[in-house]
Amino acid sequence: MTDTAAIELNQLRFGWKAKEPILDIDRLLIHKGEQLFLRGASGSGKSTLLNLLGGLMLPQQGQISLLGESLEKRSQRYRDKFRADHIGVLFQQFNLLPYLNLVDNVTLPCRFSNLRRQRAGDPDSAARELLSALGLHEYLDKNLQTAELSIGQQQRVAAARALIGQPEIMLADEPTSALDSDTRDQFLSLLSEQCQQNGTTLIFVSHDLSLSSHFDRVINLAEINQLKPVHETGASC
Amino acid sequence: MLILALRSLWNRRGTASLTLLTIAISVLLLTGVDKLRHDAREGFFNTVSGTDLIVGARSGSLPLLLYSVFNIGQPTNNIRWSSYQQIANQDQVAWSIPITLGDSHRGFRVVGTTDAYFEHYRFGKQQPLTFAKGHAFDDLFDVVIGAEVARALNYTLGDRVVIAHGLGRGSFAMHDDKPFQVSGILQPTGTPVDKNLLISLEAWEAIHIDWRAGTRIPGMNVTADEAREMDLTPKQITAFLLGLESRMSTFHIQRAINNFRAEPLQAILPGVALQELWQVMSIAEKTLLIISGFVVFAGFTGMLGMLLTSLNERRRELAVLRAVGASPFRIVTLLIFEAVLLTFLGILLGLILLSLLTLGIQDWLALEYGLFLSSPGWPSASQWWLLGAVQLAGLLTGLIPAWRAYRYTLADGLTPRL
Repeated sequence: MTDTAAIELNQLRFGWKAKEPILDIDRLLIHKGEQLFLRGASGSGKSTLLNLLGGLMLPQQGQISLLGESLEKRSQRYRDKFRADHIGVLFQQFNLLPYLNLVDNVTLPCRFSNLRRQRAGDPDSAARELLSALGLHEYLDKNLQTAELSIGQQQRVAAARALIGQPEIMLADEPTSALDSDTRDQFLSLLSEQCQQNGTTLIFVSHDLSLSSHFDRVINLAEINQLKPVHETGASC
Repeated sequence: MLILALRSLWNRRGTASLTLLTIAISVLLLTGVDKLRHDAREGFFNTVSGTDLIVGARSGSLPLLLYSVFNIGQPTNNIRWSSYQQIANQDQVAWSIPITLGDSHRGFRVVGTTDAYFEHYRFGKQQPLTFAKGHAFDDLFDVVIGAEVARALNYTLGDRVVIAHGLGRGSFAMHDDKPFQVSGILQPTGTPVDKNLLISLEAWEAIHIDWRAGTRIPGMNVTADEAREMDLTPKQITAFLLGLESRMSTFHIQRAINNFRAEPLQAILPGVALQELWQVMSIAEKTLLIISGFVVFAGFTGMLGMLLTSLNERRRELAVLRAVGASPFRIVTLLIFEAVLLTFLGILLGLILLSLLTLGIQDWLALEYGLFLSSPGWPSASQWWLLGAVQLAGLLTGLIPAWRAYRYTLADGLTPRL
């Protein structure tokens, strides 16, 4: 274990059913501040891996360390708190709560984590800064329903939410899959830039290898996973 | 977190308000039935207090109770004046109130009695009758009216009152040759007394002096002034109330009256007869409560339906909350809070509706059915129990979607399956 590791996996095995493991990763080390592209076809267990990294699920065997802390022995409550404090999450789509305005959507993690609220200083102005930095300046003072935004804009709001309060790690699960190629590249540049500024380690999961040029390192899940998934079915998609 | 719950609920205010309304209506029904039952009981038990025995012609104890003090039903037979005198003059009897029934005025019953009525009649917690205006019988053709009569017919002192022969509004035979004058108006009592017109036994005799068997005797016309000169000693009365010197002698006197030689009489203890009455009423009462219980159940089934349906739509929302660090426990709390809040607001709304409804129909119920509802106020003890049970049911209902949400959040993790 090194001080510079953001994420460290050792002999990790996981299966929805104990006898049918779908992930078997001998070792994976991701450094702090790194921007990693994790390539995985659907059904390759990438969403499962994200759930493991987010502390939502525990492996049957092996270790997961995030920021030097072993999560596999911790209680669920601790892992939830850890996630609130240190991890930002970005989904494919429908990231936003329809009943909150833009700023409130962005400051949502500050409601669950004191640490991130402290780091953000004043959450509302931090949210405004992030939204401006992500090119949503003109929408700030319009009291918009989140559904009135385009999907690309919604994803940028979600990115701002994942970044507020400078979490050390961001997990992004195909956040660009619903975007067209122009907005996709623009979104990735902004995301990458913001992660760099915040010193956030980015783990970006996608099946689309054409995006990988934006990243420091590319890992193919199929190569580090010693198991071949049986089907492209099941709970991992 | 609670703010989030409120915002989320507000976002679904359409369906949520319908659910709220369903719960409010079921609460309204439940507390309404309870109030009705409580107030009806209170009303009945408050009507006669301090009376030890009610005496009338032999029938059943319930009919006697009902017609003598509750203005319900028809008297079966009369009592001879001499029998009344004989019983009322016994040593153990402290006071007696004779009652003669059978006439009415615009739907309100006319009661023939004596000044003893104002002196000895007690209602509620041993409260005596008091006059809001005027005084008891002074002139032969004086009438004292109850508060409800005065209010409904807008009568005041000195107004002319013509008494109709027989009960019921459809009576056409009028004692219009001998009109009365309002001499006194009683304070409201919340009992059937409010709906009575009281005249003296002598006046009763006077207006019937030229009547036999429900019709005017043909060719016989006694004017009001002529009647004043005649012997107006009553010949019959319908019933009488007795107050005894000592309660110890109640059963003794009762037995003596029941075995009265001169004519078949019956004496009842008002409390015992009321209990009997209440046993009959309690069946209807319980049925109503059970029905309202089912309505509450239906209300919560509606809420459950809404919560479960919305849960499917909210799987994303829950995943987002989970991603930003909400523990499954918090998500469970969120859903339970929602159910509890909806129930609570439903209860509040139901109570407000109940108060409004009470204010709205209070007068009408009192006038039409003689049922006096207490004014809206803080819920009674039994209502607190009911409301507590409703709130608990709301909580338990909330557990079902909460449990499902818990399972969803554990299974979905960061990737809600839709």
